[in-house]
Amino acid sequence: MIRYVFRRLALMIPIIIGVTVLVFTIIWFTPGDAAEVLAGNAPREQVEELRRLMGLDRPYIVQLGDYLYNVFIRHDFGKALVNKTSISADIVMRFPKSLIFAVFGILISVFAGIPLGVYAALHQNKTGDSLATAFSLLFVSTPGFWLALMLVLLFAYRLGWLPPYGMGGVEYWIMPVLANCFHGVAIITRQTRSSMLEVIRSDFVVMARSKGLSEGEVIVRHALPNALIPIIAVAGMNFGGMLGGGLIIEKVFSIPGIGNYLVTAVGQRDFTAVMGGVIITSLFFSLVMLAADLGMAFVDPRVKEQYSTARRRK
Amino acid sequence: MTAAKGTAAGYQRPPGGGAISAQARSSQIRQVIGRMLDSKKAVIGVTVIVLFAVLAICADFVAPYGVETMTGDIFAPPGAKHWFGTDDLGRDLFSRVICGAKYSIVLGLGATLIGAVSGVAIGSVSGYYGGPADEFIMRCIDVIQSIPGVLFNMALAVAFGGGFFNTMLALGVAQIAGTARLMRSSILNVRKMEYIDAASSINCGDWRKITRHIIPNAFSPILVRATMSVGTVIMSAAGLSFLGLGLPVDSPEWGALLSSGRDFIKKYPQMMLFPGLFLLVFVLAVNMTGDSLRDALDPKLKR
Repeated sequence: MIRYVFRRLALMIPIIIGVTVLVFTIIWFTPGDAAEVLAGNAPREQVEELRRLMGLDRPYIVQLGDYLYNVFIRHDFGKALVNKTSISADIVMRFPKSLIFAVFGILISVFAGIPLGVYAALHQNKTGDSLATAFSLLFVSTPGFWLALMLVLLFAYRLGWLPPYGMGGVEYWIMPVLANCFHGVAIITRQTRSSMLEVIRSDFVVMARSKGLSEGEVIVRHALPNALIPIIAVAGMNFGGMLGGGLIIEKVFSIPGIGNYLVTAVGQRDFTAVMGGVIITSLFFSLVMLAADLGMAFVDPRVKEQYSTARRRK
Repeated sequence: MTAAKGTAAGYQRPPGGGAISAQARSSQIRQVIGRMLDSKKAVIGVTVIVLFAVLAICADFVAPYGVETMTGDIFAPPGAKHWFGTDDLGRDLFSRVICGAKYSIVLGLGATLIGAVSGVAIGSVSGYYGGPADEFIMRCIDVIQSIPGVLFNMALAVAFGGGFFNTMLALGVAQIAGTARLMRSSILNVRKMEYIDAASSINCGDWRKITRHIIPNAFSPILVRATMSVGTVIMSAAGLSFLGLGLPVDSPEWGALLSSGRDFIKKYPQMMLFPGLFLLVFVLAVNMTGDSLRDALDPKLKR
């Protein structure tokens, strides 16, 4: 198992290098460049001069090599163009905020979504199931940022219970986390329901019932573990999504997290900051997906077996 | 499931026979439509979608005011004269939201089409030929999928620039990787089937095998994904416009409407409420249709 973890970590290296190349290329094709951002409204010659000084007139491949060297050998994402602060330091400072946000989001999603999904699957086509299905369908279709703003409207402006935005005590976190996790709860409920429905008719569940286990034991010991794999995959995906994808919600509530940082950087056309932010977020996203894969191997020996024989999970 | 159904249909189909194969397929389509008509969810979903589509097409006739007409009634509350009220420039919100449907629906369909066509093409080549090309394509897809979706959308939107067509292109390109991966895995399932061996044994060319035998049988997951992605794309587009990256703030697209309403949420919530509700209802209808389409194509889950 440990060897497997190391191999997966090693396989992440080319992926992250690939992400860096891809992000650099996308930014390369973006109209406008760093020199124009720095120079502001300076005359043309000055922009050209600056471009030459910054090495932006060199060919694509040379600049890419330079960037890769800086990121992977010197571990330096450079300085933000607009604020002149170190990008790595900025992101390290902001990351915990986004992390808290995503961790609470995913915890609520899992602990609300799985029971809800199991309940729906066990009462298929009854009122409870219809309610749970309708609820999850509704929240899968609700744009998170709109929900966030509606929560602000209701709880902050109309009822005055919670502060509309900003940072501070627990009361500041309630709405952002709620807005962020509704989508997750809905997705996990749907996934749990459908994979439970597949499992619940299997022979081994019938077997467990027929040997006289209580219904709770049948579900917790036999049905749920077998239904868990796709649920873990979806939860991992969701956690990763919340990590980087809560960006509009972070913006709405002015949470100084990584999403807000990226949105601001995009607004200022601060290309180096955007690159750094996207690459670091992707790194964490990959780590989360790896953790989800390991979680699957942990709950299901079949998956573990597949890992030790197959060269690579496809 | 789909593969088993495909086998039956595939066996009935003689190599060059158009008539019988068309008949076999049409009865299969009729079955799926029949199953969808049975489900309340599908009927509601499709009805709402059609309603929105009609509304979008006839927006210019239905809308009581012009999209840009400033009525002089600034921030009017919802009422008989202005059903949804008016915005900060006195433009009728009902008219704007209806015209927004046009933008959002075309954007959703267009981006999905771009993503689905390119994704199916890439995924089919990758899945059918295998080998180094497949390996290369899959590694590229791995890389793309290591970037959280929202960030990838954002980066592409920045690179392509704002505006209707560019946003559609950016969101479409962002869809390609996922569709290609799904297509590839579903091709890998179909490729093992006997009817593909049968086709090979009668000297059927690669192109013909891919287009006539493999894609039709591997298509149902793609169809479901594409349906769902219309909703996702519309939501993403709204998010991008909300951040000021998609359509210009002044256009009546739903996300842009939300973005322009944000500053006035405290006093005039109608500017946030109605575009968001329309967005929600439309995406909900799309998801309901997608859900029931999946159930109809894969009856194993339901019964």
